[in-house]
Parts: sequence; structure tokens; C-alpha cells
Amino acid sequence: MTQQPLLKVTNLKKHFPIKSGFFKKTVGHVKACDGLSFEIMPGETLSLVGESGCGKSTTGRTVLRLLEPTDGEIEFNGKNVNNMNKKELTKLRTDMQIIFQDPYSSLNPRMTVGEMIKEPLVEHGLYKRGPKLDERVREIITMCGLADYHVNRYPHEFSGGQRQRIGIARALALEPSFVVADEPVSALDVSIQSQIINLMNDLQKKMGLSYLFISHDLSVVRHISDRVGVMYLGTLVELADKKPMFDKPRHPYTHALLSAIPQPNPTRKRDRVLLSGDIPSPSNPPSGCKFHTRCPSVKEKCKTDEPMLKDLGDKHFVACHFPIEG
Amino acid sequence: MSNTILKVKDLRTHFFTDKGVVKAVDGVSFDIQAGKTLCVVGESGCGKSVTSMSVMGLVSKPGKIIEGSSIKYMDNELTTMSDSEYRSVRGNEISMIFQEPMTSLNPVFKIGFQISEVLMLHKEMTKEEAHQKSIDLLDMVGLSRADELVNEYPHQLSGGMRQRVMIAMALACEPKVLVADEPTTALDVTIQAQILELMNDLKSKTNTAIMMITHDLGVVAEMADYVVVMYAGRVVEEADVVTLYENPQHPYTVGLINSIPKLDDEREVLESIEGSVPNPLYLPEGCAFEPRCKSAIPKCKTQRPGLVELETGHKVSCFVIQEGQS
Repeated sequence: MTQQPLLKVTNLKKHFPIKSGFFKKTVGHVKACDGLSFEIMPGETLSLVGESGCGKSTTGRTVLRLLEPTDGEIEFNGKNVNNMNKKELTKLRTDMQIIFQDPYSSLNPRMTVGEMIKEPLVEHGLYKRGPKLDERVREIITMCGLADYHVNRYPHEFSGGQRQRIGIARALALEPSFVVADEPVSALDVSIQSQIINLMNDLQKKMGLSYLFISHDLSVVRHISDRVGVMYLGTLVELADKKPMFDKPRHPYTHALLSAIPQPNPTRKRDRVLLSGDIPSPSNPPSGCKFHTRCPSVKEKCKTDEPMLKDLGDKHFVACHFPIEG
Repeated sequence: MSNTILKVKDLRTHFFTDKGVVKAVDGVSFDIQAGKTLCVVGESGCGKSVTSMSVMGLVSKPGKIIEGSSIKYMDNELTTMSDSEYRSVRGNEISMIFQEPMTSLNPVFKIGFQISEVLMLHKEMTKEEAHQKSIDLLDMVGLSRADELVNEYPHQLSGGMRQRVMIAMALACEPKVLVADEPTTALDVTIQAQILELMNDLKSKTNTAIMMITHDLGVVAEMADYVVVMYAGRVVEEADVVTLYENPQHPYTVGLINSIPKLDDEREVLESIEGSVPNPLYLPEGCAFEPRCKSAIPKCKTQRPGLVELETGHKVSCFVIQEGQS
């Protein structure tokens, strides 16, 4: 691949301080995101999966600099995003957008759909208010599967699936090249969920978008992504193309995660790797490999040495001392 | 079917709101047998939770179970019971696990007390006996350090642990029927797998009948013996679990099953059901699914299909299917 990556993240860290006491002294850090590196190619979908609290949403937001990174580098289109000032960032935002998880709380209840989509277009100076802008808004709305008479309605008049379509329309209004989708379908019913997934796939083809798709639902991820990264307690434990990841997971955590998903097929009972215990607290992660407390095949070395993300061939990266044989 | 423990017949639970009557549950019938799991599936707003609340006798104003409905537990009619009679059944013979382990435990009482309370009330145990039994119960649901946990408060436990406490509490009096309303929806997949395993384990040990409410067809495949599919307050299809997945008949069930992304499929585009669930205040006159149904015939618009048995145990409520049969 000689192509330049659209987004390149190197050793990204985001630590949230825990403050306590009268003087709000920092007594520790929640290491939400602790040394992540990945790349996204133009037109590609990279998914980040993991359980709650593994830092996947934090990563999504830090990449957009909605949260300030503690350390590490973010490069977008060859430009360093870390030390951009406010003006440069504003310009950048036309190219990077986000779709939020909750279609109920992420739309302003006092704005009509039309105003919501117009706002970024006017704010970024792409259009002046007028018939041309109205025309553009209608175009975007119909592209996202809503009807043009919806323009003058308020969010409460829409169902969950329709609201998520509004969220998508708003994110895509500026014709970005990169969109972070933070659990865009997890609040929706299955029959609606598939509508939205199909819509996102269509739009990607039409507009050549790159997605960073954040989800806890591996079945959805399998559907939408080109590559998948599995996170555990703020670090990537496995990063690979979709097919090898799902067919032959190499990290014990990925393996357990895949086997834990209930399959809609009552006749096929698979052997399941049941993980015992809960996810450790990210403020006080275990030493060595962070997964060693729940790993079914833990060995002495795992308790002391932290494994690094290694390429096992074919760009299949795994952070494990004893990966499952491929 | 001598093993039938709970028989729900023509259950109608309506809510009399200012805007009109919401027929949340409108003529639902099913049987639950000892040692079996019945799953009620459907999307949000289809009336599955109201069904479980009705069985528990927890429907409050403006909701009302309409006359003519019958919920029979063994030989006792529950719908006509007085409050105090109901109290001796609820939590004792029929108990419930709620969806949100975060909010359904009382935050100001210790875990031990909350479990003991049930035992002291229904089994007339002394405080000491109940305390000891609580420890045994926590042990049974797989919580380590049970003897310390009884003296802890809910906020000290993780989500998975709280759900185990809820299960311990529900099983305290060895109920004949366990109603579980989305017991794993709020949990991560690896934790969900633990809880489902635990429920299956306990079912085979205690021969409890389980009525499980869920929207996740994966969970259904894993847990159910028998499935009831609900749409807009009515049963559209019921069948044993294998039949339902291998030979679904109702267009809604077919659409629902086809719209789930599966781990092992290669489809590019997911099938989806167009449109969304109708407003429960203004249900269509005919079949409630007609506006979204691809195979609707004129009759569907004006008349309501009844539930007809196609073959033993497989019932469908759809004119198109029924007419194709005869």
C-alpha cells in the first residue's frame, strides 16, 4: 500500500485525572486511552470494539480533538492535528465529523431539522442564507432517507431511527472525508438498526467516506468494517482485517468476546469461552498484560511483562505473549 | 400439557391516558411450563414489558387489565386477586428480575438485608436464619466472598454482580415462575454470557419456569424453548425455538430475523423492514403490521387476523399465510 493514510494516530494517550480532597489534589489517573496507534486509509472503515469502559469512545473524541490528548500524535491528511490552533481546527472540522450514539439527547430540541443542518453550512461559510442553502438542505435530507417536508419539524416529532438519520445528515452536510461514528445504532431496534447500517454503507460508497466506527456489537462491526481493532482497558489487543479477525482471532480476549455473543441460531451450540470476573478498573489496571486477570491461558510472564502490539504476518497485529495458533 | 404452570389467556392491558386509550397489550395468550423457558420478543413499544408487569400484578394507573383477561397460576386466577393475596404470590411463587440492575436495588440498604427481607416476609424466617440463607443464595449465584457481600451496599458492586444479586433475590423463595425482563440488556457481552449461563444452570437445578422478555434474537436462540413474537400489543407468531428460526412464517418475524447482522454471514446489504412501529394511540384498523408489510393483501387493511395454528405448536396471525395454507 503506497497510499497515504487519511488518519494516522501514533501512541495516543488520554488520561483523566482523579481529583480528591479539599485542594482537589490529583490522586491518580484513569487511563482511558493508553498508547494507541492505528491508521485509516481513505474510503476505509476501521472499527473499534470493546466492552464498556475500554476507552473506545474516548479514542473517537480525542482523535477529533473534542478532548485534548495527553500524549501522542494525530496526523490527518498529512497535517499534524495536535498543535493546531482554534482557527485551524475550525477549518479541520469541515473535514472531520461525528455521529453520536444517542439520537434522543444529541439533537437540540428547540431547533428544526432544517436549521440544524443549515447551521454548520453557514457557520463554515460554505453557503449564505437563501434559496440555494434551502435547496442544499433538501438534497442532504433526501439523501439520508428523510422527506423534504421534514425540514420544518422538530426532533420530538421523529422516531429513533429517523433522528439518527438527522444526526447523519448533520454530520455529512459539510461533506467531510472522515466521520467518527460513536455507537450510531446501539440505541435502535434491530429492524431500524439494519436500515441505518445500510444507509451508512450507501453513503460511504457515494461520498468516499472513511469511518471510525465505534461499537460494542461485534455482529454489526463484522458487517460494516474493513478492519477491526479490539480494545481492552485503553489499549489495542488485536488489530486486523475483518476476515482473519473473525475467522481466526489470535488474542484470547478477542476469542472470548466472539464466543460470548449469543448467535441467532438455536441449533448451533458453540463451545464458549466463558470469562470469569469483571473488567478491572482503568484507574488501577493490572500489571503486565492488562488481560491476565481474566485470561484463560495466563502464564507467569503475562503477570509482569506488558506485551506489545506485534505483526504476526499479513498485518494481523496482536498484543499477546502467547497468541492462539493461526 | 399437564406441566402448565402459568396460563395467560386473552390478556388485555390498556392505558387510559388523556390523549386516548393505548392498547399496550391487546389479546395475548400463552402458556408457561415447568422447567421450560418462554421468550417474548419484540421491538420497543410492542408491549412485552407490559405483559410481564401484568403477570406480576404491577400495572398501575392509568393502566388497567381489562375484564375478560385471565392469568392463571396453577389453579389460582391472578387478575381477580386482592392486593394482599397477590402479595403472598409475588416474590414467593412468581418473582421477577428487572432490566436495570443499577436502579432496581435500593441504594440505602445492605445487600444482605434486601435478600433477607423477602425471606422474612414469605418464609417467616428469623433474622439470623434469613441472613445465613442470603449468604447461601449469593454463593449459589456464583458470587465469591458472599459472607462479606451481605454487608455491602449496591454501589460497591459492578453491574454483573448486581444482576447476580437480583437473581439471588428473585430465587430466594424458590419460585415456580421467574419473570426476567431484559435481564442482560444493560450488561457487556462477556458478562451477559456469564448471566445467561447462570440462569440456564439454575433452571435445570430448580425446575423453575422462566418467562424471559428480550429484544435480542441471539439471546432468544440461546435461552428459549418456546418463543412468542409480539408486534404492537399482539402476538404475531409463536413456535418452538428451532421452528421459529428455521421456518419463520409471519412477514414481521421473517424481516426481524433477516435484519440481524450475523457473525458468519457474507451479505453485503442487510435486509430491513421499511418504516417504523405505528403509534400505539392510532393503531391501524386491520393488521398492525400492514403498513410495513411487503406481502399485504387488501383484506389486511380492514380486518384483524387471528392467531391460527399451522402445525402443532406453531401459530401465526397473518391472512396471507393462512390463506396460502388452506
